[in-house]
Amino acid sequence: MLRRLRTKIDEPEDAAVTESVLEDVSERATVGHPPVVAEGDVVIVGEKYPNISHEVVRAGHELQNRYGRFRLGSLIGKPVGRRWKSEFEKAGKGACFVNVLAPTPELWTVALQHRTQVVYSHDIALITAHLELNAGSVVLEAGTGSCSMTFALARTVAPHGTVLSFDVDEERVRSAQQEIKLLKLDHVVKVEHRNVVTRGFPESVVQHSVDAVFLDLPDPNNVIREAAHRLKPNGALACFSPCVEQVQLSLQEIRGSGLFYDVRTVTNTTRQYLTEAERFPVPDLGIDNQIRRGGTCAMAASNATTGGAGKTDHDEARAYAAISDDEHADPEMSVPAVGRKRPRGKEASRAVSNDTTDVTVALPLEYPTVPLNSRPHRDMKGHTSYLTFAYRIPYLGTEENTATVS
Amino acid sequence: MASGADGTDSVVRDGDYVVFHTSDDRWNFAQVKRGNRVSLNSKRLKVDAVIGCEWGSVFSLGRNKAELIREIETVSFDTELHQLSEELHTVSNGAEARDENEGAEAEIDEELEVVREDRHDEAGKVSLKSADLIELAVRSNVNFEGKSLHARKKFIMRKHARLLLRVRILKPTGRTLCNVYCDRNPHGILGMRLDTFSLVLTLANVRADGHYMVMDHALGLLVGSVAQRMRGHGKVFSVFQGSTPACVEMIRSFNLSAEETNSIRHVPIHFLPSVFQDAPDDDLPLNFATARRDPGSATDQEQRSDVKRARLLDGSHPSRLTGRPTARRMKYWLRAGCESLIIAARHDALPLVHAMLPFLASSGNLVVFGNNFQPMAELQYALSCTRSFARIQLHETSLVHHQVLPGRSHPKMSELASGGYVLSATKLTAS
Repeated sequence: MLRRLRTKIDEPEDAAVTESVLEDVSERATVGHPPVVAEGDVVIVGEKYPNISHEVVRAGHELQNRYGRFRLGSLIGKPVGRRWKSEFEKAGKGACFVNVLAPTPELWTVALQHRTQVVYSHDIALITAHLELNAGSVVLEAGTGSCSMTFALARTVAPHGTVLSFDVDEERVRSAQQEIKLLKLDHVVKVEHRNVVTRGFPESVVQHSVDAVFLDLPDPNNVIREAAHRLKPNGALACFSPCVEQVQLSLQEIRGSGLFYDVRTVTNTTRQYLTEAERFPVPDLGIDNQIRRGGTCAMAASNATTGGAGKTDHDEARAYAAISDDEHADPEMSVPAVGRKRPRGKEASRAVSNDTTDVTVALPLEYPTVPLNSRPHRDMKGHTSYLTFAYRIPYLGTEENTATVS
Repeated sequence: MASGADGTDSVVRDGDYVVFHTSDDRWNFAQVKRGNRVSLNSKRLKVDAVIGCEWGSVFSLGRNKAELIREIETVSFDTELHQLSEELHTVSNGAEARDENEGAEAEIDEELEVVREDRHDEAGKVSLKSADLIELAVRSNVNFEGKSLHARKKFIMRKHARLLLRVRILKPTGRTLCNVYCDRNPHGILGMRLDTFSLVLTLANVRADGHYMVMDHALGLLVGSVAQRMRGHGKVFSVFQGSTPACVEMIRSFNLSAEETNSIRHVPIHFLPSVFQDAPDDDLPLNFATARRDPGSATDQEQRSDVKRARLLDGSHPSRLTGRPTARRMKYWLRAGCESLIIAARHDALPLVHAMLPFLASSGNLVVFGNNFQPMAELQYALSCTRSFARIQLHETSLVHHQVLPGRSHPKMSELASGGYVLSATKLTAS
């Protein structure tokens, strides 16, 4: 999929760019030339936020969910990144739609089947930055797990790099190999069944030939010296360990080996915000103390667009009439809330269904003219794991000397 | 980007940019040239010794703290320091801290400095081991035995920072340069912390063979990092305002190869509206100028323009324009669309998103970094109203460093309060 995400165009020489070529490009160019789906490709199907899944496109197969029935074959030859209307309407609900997106590691992380605890995108980002990966790097991963990190590593090192991933569980390895093949990453990733704690890395991985090692194991401390022998000078090591006791053992080994510098342990948490048009109701205190909008504060903010000068909070609250749905309200379904109250519950889903034709029409990007409020989503990824990073010293002399340090 | 053991890029060359990381966790970077001096920890140091050394090498301060001197690191210096600290901790009796005599401590420092100067060998290298020097410091301090565990550790670390400063030379990468700017000039990179910086690159799905449009007001940190990650496979369209590409100097500090540098294409933002129209001057190199300011008559101007056009077309014009792609080629690239738009701007991002959005391919990602919450929330809502985006997410991350030691594990007390906010969305187009 990585190779195909961007359709290759033979780039013409300046002088050779003919009108016909330009016309051809113009036709494809209004929104770029997005990847076109082919038989056997994986697509990401986005339902109501945050629900998301992946499907393999096969002619004759169908996807059935609460939004209706979708013929997967109808995607073939069409670009991704669009709304996909149900071909078979649900009685009384009209045509519904889902979003069809190209698979990226970030979407895959949410859409994959969990076989183990997965590494989430914000951790993946920090690990990738610390490992200083680029196209062409060679990475060892111990603990393939659910393939979340593997896909992200492959994306970064492709097409000339390599990811060698090992897992102790044969069933997980088999599933991972299937997924890697589906994602058309088998030219970059090799997943093997191997217990690196007892057997170490394969002999084929020669000493000081690897740019980075990522350890997602219950006992990474047993693999650290082995990793140090495979790492190039200044090669990076990352350990992903949920418990602080694991980190203690790892650090004991990292420091004891005397082979690493710039050792750091961090945690990285993320929080996501939801923004809605909303004005809180103003209490009627029964006394004459109504504060009017548009006073000195509004005048000071020359760019203020919320308007409402001369109106009281009561007036505006009625006019804007916005609302908060459940915590998982789909931000992409948000509509300008001026003079319109968003429906709730069953009423909401019906409204969305009946409003399909409107919702698929894009609107121009404009400054909001309604009062906005943001709040964090109810759920967040709190403590995922401790991330420990270290870099191999450039000295490649006799490592027996350094072993005595411990 | 780990350096290869046998590759030509494994050593520092004359003229390379180098990141200096000191043992007291300070960061700086500079271009190293023979005879040049680099400012490090308030000292001007000669850096000739750095040229030809492997990346990752460690240096100490030489005589009079005026030059860097190579140290052979068979055992990681970090390990050495950690073990020393732990050994001293274990002999502690845990007594309560007493008031420190700062005057006496300063005298000890001076004495130790004399000892240290005497221990330089003929090559100027410090022959005194760090453990010896710290031990001397401890022996010289009559109050040390009476200090608490915490006070002892602080004392040792202080001595270490003053007397045994080590400097490690690192390759300039997105990570190291982000650390440099976080340490020295966080405002320059819009307060972008390493976690948010890395999140921007990840959400933008940066990979080889991709095309990315970047509006970078973070001194070129993002443009350089994207180019470095792609290693010359793909293109980065660096959009800038005005007539001069921004942050060229910072991009140079990544020591990018010719292919990587060539993958960066500067595009003036005023060029974007004309991309979908053909113009007579499309065969000329892309002009960054915003408007002509020729005072001559219309006829003279046309004549000069014709001559210049002819010389540019046959390549005989001495202008630097000849090295740029033609407007036609740039339009060709941009019409093909980009995988991601990355915006990290000092301005309100909404007009920039509006200007750059036509160049985002379907299912491509829009990633906007901002240091202030309100404009990001406003943009989040504005995007949701367009119905052209899926998975509009406004992220805030927090990065906490931990001290992990047996029985003494805890998060560090002081951290940067905020690394900024990242808004991401995936573009949808009409069916």
